[in-house]
Amino acid sequence: MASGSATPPAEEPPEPGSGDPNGGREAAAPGEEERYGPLRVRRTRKDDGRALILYSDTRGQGGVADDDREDAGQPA
Amino acid sequence: MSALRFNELRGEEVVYAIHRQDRTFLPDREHCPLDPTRPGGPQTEIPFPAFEIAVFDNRFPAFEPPGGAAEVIVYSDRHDGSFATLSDARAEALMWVWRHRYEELGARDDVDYVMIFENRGVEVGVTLHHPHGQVYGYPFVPPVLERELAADERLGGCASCELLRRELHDRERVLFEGDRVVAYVPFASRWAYEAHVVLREHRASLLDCDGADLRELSASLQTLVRGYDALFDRPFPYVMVVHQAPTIGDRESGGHVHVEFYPPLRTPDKLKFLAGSEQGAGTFISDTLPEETAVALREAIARAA
Repeated sequence: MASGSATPPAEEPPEPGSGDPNGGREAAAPGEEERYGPLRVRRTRKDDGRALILYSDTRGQGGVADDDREDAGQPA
Repeated sequence: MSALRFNELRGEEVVYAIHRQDRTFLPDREHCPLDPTRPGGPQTEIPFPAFEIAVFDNRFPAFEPPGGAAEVIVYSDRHDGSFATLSDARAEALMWVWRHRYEELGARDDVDYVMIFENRGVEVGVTLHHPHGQVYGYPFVPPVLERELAADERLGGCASCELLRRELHDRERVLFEGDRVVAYVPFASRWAYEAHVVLREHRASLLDCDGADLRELSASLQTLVRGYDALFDRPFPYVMVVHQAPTIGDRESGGHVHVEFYPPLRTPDKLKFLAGSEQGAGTFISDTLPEETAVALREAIARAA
């Protein structure tokens, strides 16, 4: 998977009605990475303008092919 | 651009998305649009050589702004496999992606209902074999959800809570249960091997689910689909749909997170077709009893464990 983060995973969502306007997300400027629960969220756009979002698991156990994740999220 | 027409006799919307007629249909493995784009290889929908989970706007959308949304969720950069063969961690991460898509699409003014689903198998019309699901953001509350909300009214509270209570009382159709999730073949299932995976506690939407809920939900879904594959010792086709609250108005007014499976097989090699009674009268006629198919499914789940 993508290289790990020093930030502990924010696994628990906010309590309903907690008043967190970001719903547990860390705000990010366009092009920057966000966090959502245990996920790292990277937004981009395809050549034709359609949205593309890449999710990776910050816990370092994203599932298949953990041994070849180093290039995940890098442009081809 | 899609267009809606209201079918007065059925009392329901029909979506005309004629551009979908030309969508990619069962490409050969070397030209799968959901594979990563590898150096020197063909350009795919995901211009990266590797990824974990990817979500993108459907190239052939049934809905698009300002009239809804249609997204594709690719579970893995591995072409082979299925939801059943994902690692536990990947399946759990997928639940968070579902939650995120529900939250983001549900916040849009042009989306009244977010439906997350997976079609598996050519028997249910799959056009790409790479493991993936979809999200539709409907610009209206579709009829199935309207019926669920009507059931809440009829039963005097959350219908899913009441039906779960009845299933746990009867027990004979329960497939398995955990601290937070129960799976059962419904008392009045329409498909031979239909199953519902339901949160024990009332959760209107995935936004009300905490990490432990999502972890047990993903494990339960995988337990069921692995059992499905063991049932007839073949990849088991199904439609999997996440049901939850509409995103219009007060979401607490209806909805209870549960995942319904509609498998078309009634034997290892026979499909249930929607024919005269189902299409003309809206009444399913089943060749099997839920209590009997629940026994077979329990045995298959045990074999797959």
